[in-house]
Amino acid sequence: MPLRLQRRARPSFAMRLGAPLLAVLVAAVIACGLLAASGKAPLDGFYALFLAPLTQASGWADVLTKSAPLALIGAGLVVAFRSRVWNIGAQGQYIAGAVLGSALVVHMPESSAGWLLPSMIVLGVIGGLLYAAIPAFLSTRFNANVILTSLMFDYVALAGLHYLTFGPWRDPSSYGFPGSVSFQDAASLPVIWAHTQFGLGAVFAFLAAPLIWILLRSTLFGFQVRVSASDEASTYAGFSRPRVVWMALLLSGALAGLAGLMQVAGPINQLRPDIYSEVGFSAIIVAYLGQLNPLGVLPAALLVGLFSVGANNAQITLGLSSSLGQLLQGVLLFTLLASNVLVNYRLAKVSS
Amino acid sequence: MNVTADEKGGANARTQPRLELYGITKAFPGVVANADVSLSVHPGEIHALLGENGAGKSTLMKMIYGLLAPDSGSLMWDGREIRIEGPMQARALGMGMVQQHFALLESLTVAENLALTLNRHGRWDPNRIAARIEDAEREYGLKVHARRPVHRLSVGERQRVEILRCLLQEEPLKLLILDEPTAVLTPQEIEGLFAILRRLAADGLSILFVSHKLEEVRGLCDRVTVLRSGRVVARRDTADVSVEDLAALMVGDAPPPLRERKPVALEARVRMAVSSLSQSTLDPHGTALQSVNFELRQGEILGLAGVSGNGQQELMAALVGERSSPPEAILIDGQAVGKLNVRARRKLGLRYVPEERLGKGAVPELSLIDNVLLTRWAKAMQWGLLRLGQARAAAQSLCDRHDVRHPGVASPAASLSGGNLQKFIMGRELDEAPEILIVAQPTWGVDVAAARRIQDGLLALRERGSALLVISDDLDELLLLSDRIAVMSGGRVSPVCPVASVDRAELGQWMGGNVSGWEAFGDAA
Repeated sequence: MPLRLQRRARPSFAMRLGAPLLAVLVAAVIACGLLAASGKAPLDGFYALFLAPLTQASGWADVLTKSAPLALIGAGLVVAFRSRVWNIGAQGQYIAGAVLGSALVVHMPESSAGWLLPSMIVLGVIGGLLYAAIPAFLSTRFNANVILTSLMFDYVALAGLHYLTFGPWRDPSSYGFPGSVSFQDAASLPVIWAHTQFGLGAVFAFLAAPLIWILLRSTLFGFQVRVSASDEASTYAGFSRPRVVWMALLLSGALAGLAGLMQVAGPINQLRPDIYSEVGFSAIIVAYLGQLNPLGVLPAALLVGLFSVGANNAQITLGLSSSLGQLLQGVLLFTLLASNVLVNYRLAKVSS
Repeated sequence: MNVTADEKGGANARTQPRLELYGITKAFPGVVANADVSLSVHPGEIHALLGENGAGKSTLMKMIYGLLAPDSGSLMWDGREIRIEGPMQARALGMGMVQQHFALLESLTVAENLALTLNRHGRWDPNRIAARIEDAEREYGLKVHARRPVHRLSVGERQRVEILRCLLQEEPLKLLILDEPTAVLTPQEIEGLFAILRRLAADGLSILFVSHKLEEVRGLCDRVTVLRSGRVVARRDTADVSVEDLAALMVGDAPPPLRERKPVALEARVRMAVSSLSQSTLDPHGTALQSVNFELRQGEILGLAGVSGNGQQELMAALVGERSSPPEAILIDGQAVGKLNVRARRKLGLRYVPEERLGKGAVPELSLIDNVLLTRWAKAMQWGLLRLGQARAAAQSLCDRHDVRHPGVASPAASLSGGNLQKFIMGRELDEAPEILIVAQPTWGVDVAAARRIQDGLLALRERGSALLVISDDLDELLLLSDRIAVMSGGRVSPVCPVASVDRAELGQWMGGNVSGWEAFGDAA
């Protein structure tokens, strides 16, 4: 009996929850297949990738630390994507926040003033916000495609970061290594889990998701975002599309910028050319894995964080390539998009 | 026409039926669309399938044409039991279907459109098709401009293109299914269509004519099958049955009478005035507005008749503020509002109901609670937050008051049937008692009882002293509701005249684009 996809009368709530789980399962199976194909014992690989980090407390701390910026950026992207504003420039906004926030430290490396850290946080937010304002302006003023502009500005930001860390902002005492001076305590977010990198920044990052949930549910802006599912209905309601585009980009940019600052003033403790490690793109996967629900972003971020820690772990213990983590993310995005079909469709047997 | 001589002879001849249905049943989640439906159509017969909106006519047609599979029952074609897997097979058997919404590419010419679907195995050759179209014109009297782009055709012409597509398909056409074909036509175009259909039937073609318009069924068809709530309630020869009988069969219990029309004791103060409103269109296939003038007074319903696509959408967009116009072109209570946006005009007491319900009048994926807020959010704010609890109560009472059947106010708008959604949207706007209400197609696709409720609501608002503009392509409804009426054609609006003094035939002429006499009429109004 052949199977056919049949449209459901209404989207299935169970599948909205089940589809990501199914996607993770299929992705894990594919990952094992890839491991087997590359000549490793698939079960060992599976263990190293997905389970080993969870066997020790320090592994949990690593996963939480890795997940924090993903949850923060992902929550912002949920707002953008629900507004149908395709901001895929979180990477650039993250770098812009990190750079602008670091500017203070670079110019007063020895300062221990109490206002330093709060100012850095504010500057981080402003950096991401201003950087997201560019595609917002280009879109609302010239109708330029946000996907293209936001993506292209990622590379501009990266080039800027490289210029600064290899050039004017390089720590003179670093023996030629790129990167700024290391941040003093006054310029760093405190670590709250001793002997790990898990700090105050991560805690706040995880708080963003529930706040965004309330924003979407109960505020006028959140309502505008939800109505954005239909352009015509937005017009009918009397909402201004350019305004929503601006707000969605500024908000997601600000959160990405904040995430960037929290990384350089937290676990990384320095502005380096490698601070970004694709976190802006992983956050896109996180937003979709969470079904564009701010609360769904939390487990999604933890999972992608686990992948990332697991891939590092597998590289050390099994000698697997570190790109395995990104490969997994890619596979996961595919399986997720595929299994999301089941939210609106069901498999039905066709009698022949 | 490729029919053999012995197939001719009309319905009364004792020929093999071309199509027979036995006990067809089809259920969707929550509703039985067709229950035990049987039907037969003979060669040369024009057979009407009559029923209200939602009676299950379209579902049945889709099963015949292979777009849906029946849950049970059997289907015979020329005496053989068959199973139709899809439209391709239906066409291969010699069926053709003209749906309500045409499947034509607007920027291509007629010949190019037909070349896309006909002769799928050969070379794409519009010139050859154009020659075939000319042959068809001689043979069936179907007038179509082969080399004209579709967006320049009237709706009637587009429909003829669709019929032509069926006639020209590879397999000789034996059964033509027409789904509500007259809904979009002017009275004159309807006559033209009927002449063509009679001629085709005389050549032996079987025609299934799906409709809810009684006069047409009586005038055109040989036999009629009446569907109600998915079941066949009657089969009759149209010669033996009166229009009143048909109405009773179709609706079951007589529809509730329309609210009594009371005179409104108010001075005829102008609430909204439109003068010299001209506007280009953003839609490449839209219609530009050309110097539109009219006045809307309190305590009246002004009907705007016309075939869809003659500038009604553009006019609506300008009136409600979706597009801005020169400030003085539109006045509300004497205030120039041409530059005001939707939000600002709503504050002045102007509300409207768009033609598209799902996707504009309501957001399909959002709950009924959110959809109540869609046009009422400005009043639901408190300390920067939306009062969701209050909105939930409002949604609940709105559904109760307007008899909206729903699976819970937290369920998405998409889960409502078309009629219930329209009741919901109309109720949402009527309950706000707007000073000015503009409504497009208030009862399109809604069953008789629900339509009555909506019409009652409009009349009640009129008595309250509001000013109503009703835009519709259903002339009968406008004549029933309106105090004064105007016609829109080609982006222009005719002079407004009192309903009591209009001549139906003349309105039909105007709807068809014949504007002679507009100036003369203007003084009379």
